[in-house]
Amino acid sequence: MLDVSRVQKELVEIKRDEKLSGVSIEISEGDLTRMRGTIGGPHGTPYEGGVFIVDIQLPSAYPFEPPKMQFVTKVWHPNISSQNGAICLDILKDQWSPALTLKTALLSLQALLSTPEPDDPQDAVVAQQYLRDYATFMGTARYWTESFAKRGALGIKEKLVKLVEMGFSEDTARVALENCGGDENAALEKLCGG
Amino acid sequence: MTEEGKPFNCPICLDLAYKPVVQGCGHMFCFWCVHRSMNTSTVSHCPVCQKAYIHQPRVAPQLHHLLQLIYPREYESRALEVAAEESDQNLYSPAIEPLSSSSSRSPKTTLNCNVCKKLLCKPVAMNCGHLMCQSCAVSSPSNTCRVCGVYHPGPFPLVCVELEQYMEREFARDHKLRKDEVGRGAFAGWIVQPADDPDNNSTVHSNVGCDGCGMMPILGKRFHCLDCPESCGYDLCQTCYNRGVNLPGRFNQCHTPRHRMEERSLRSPWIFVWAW
Repeated sequence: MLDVSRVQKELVEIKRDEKLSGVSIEISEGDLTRMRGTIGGPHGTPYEGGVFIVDIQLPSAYPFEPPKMQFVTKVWHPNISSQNGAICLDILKDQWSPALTLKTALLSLQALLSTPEPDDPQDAVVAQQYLRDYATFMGTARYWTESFAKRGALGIKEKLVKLVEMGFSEDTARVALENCGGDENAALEKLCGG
Repeated sequence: MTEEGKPFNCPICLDLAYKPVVQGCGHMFCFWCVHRSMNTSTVSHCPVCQKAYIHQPRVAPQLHHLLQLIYPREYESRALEVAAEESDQNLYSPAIEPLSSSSSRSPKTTLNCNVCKKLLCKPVAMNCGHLMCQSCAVSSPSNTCRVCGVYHPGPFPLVCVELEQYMEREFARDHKLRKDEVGRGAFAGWIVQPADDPDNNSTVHSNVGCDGCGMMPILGKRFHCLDCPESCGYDLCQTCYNRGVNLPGRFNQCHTPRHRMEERSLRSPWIFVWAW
């Protein structure tokens, strides 16, 4: 049984200082086991200025088992899969403690964005690049932030859905979005113009 | 409404701690929160400080009474909530004797040391739930409670900082007087008697806890009560069995010294599940 009372307390606490902490949570349609977290990219990192969406699923044994978290926004980071957003972070696995909360977990993800651990990678390709060619890594990470984590809190998937709803085919919409670095308005102009 | 960080909130359920248990590291939780957070097949770690432990201490009755006094309505509503859960699960937390009507009911008198009878100073909780000043615990014979003589497994208990801070705030003058009286030195504690500790190669009885010292899982030999009717059963570890422990069960089982105990090996078909 999910400890509903605890989850509600957590949500109140997160809401209370979301401006200060830079992390927030929204629940989806009253279902307390499924939420979306948002993390502001930390200053002085290639993620600065980006807003990163994290899908959160609470197992029924929460808080005695860790929440399942996965980035929805694409991120170029050694400990986050560039393919599916899976996260390699000890506190979301064996180092979880029931005294940790969704807020502390999101803050830990924010800290992870500041201090990558390339020796314990989730994405081997990114980790290799980080270790061998740091300048290119920084460039790619910044480019991904610009492309996927900016322009409001909409992820690339949502933008794609929006364009498809407007009547464009999924493939042409995706190509347009990619060419415009994830900027949905520019992509729309391109689609209409071309 | 409670909020995070309020004194005596349990760090696990984020609610007012109900039937509070103080771990050897000094951190305080609800009885059920500790039980649910424990690993049933290996060593557990304190959710706050990660210190390893394997024994769940008993509820500290003084803290139970203190919280009843300082948050009467909230504590009562916690009691009702937990009672409903317990009857659903048919598994009960230990009953705590209520404060006798003759004893004066003030938070301060609730917090006297069980040994020196003065206001607690640097309080520690023994595994049996008795609170005492750290300096009083030091002068006790190794690994036993000076009040009830019950075996205290594990290392010397650390100060319950939350309670210490509460007393510092609420009874500043008396607390300072006691502090000056006791002195500010650190205490070395006692030397752990390894003879009582099971060795690393012991058999592990997963999901079975000792109703004496609270060891979970039981390491080494396990003794099971043949006469306790409760579905959770009554078990003892070798140390508690050897010491003739006859304490009531951790889950309110009506165990008596007349009950027959039998050693249970791991292969026994009668595996009683201690936790759900």
